[in-house]
Amino acid sequence: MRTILLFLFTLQSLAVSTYSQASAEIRIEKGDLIPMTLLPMTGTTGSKVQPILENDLALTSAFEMVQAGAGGFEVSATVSPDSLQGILKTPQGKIVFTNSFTGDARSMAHQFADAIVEALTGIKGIATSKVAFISKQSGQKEVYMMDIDGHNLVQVTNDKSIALGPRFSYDNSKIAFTSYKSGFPDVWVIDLKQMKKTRIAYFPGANTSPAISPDGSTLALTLSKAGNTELYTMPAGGGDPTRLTKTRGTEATPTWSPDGRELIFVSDDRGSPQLFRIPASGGQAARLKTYASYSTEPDWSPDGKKLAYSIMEAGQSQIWMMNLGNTERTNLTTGGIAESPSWTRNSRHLIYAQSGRLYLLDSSSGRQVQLKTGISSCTQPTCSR
Amino acid sequence: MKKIAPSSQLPCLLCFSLLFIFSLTSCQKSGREVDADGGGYLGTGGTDDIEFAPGPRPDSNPDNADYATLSNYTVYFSFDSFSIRTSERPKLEAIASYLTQNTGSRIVIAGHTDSRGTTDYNVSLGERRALATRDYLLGLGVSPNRMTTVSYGEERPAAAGENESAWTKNRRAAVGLVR
Repeated sequence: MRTILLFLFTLQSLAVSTYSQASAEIRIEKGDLIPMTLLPMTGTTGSKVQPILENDLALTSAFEMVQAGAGGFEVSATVSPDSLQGILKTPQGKIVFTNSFTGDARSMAHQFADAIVEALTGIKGIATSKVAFISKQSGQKEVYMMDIDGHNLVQVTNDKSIALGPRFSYDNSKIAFTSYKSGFPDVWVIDLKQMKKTRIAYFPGANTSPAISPDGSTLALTLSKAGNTELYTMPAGGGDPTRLTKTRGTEATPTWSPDGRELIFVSDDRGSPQLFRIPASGGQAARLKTYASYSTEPDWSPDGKKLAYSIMEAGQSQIWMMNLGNTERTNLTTGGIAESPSWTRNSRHLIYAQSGRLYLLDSSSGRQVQLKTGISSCTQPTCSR
Repeated sequence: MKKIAPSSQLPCLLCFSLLFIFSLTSCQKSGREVDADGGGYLGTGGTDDIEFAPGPRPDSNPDNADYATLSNYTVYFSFDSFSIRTSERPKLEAIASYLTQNTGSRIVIAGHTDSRGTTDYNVSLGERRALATRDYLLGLGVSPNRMTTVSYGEERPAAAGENESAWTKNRRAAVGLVR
């Protein structure tokens, strides 16, 4: 009933839209499935590109494939080896957009998928996103990176020690992570263009949980050089750290607000891990109430409005989302040990790990799909922005 | 998917109502309140307290340390805790005594956690356990220059398995001789 009503609502909205570009008027609310028909692609490499696009659209959990003529938006394309001419039409046959894309087959399919998603949902598509994560496939924990659909997998580190907690920079050009390559936990940053790794923080004690600020200038991290694990910031290229907390407890996993002015992090100073919000320049930290005794792994959405985090309770771990405006909380997973939520660029989908596998979750609907990685023991995913 | 508070953006009033009712019932399951004040602060930063800082790192990789010699004195911890239990104090006295007799020895204290909890938090917790162990040894008169710490979090369990027996063995600070 809800879907039908919304669909009618959508069609009514479409009638007043000009289709010139993605507009708020054709946005479909919440997690309702958008009916769609994917016509067989024409051109020399159409049959090669078609399954890539189908999979990209399936990953979003936003569309419902229907028979031609059954009221779905109509997707068609003509594909040559180096160009894709794509067309999206309304169920009434009006053109929403026609656009051409260049690149290899996978890249063109991903670009077309993202254009379709943006036109119909008003949010950014994620088919062109990268996912970095930790895998123990080689026997040791190393950083890997792949396209969100599981292709183009590369092993980024080969330290043969322990790699932990990779996080993309906001411009996707770098990944910060912790490595025990020296024997001790140090913070490293990889420049992805040159695949160059630089050790940034290697103070006595633990150097962990790095997160690069949105403007790329600063690293938030935890250090124990003062005799206790505390939250610090320091220049992203290395330099003197500034301490933000002074507690008797343990601090971990800072995440930046998109404007770079604040951090949310974990502290167990009150006796168990809780989430706190603090100005990035220092000051008092205020607790975010999660109504759970063990709350960790905060990740601030790119639009600044939401926080994903995990709650451990009764031996299980679940992903939750908090609306930072009104503190409304939503439980997004049930059962098992779901960990390490990481927002995608659209602040609607997020990736998390469960039992060594990675999942893509639509926070609007709760629907999720498993990401193909081709390797085992995958944890701590981070998605490019 | 459980909603805890209603969204005002849903265009369907019926769904809105249903979700709202559902939210009231699901609220009870969402966990216990820990701290009712909803705010407060963690002390703001400041100058590092150098005398309690971890000792300088040894040149050698702590992976190569000798963890066998003092293995009887591995210190165990309670879940999500870094307090030195009364039962563990004689072990630390034995380690201090060993270091008094072996004046050339330096130690690395390796903090570990069980597998529960998140990876990064457990690295911090393991470090806190190693530092608590070191602080106790400092109190027994061991020079800070002879001690360094490393945390492996949950990455190097002593016992395999997801049960209390394994977890108990894994929540530890192991003391190795630097070589």
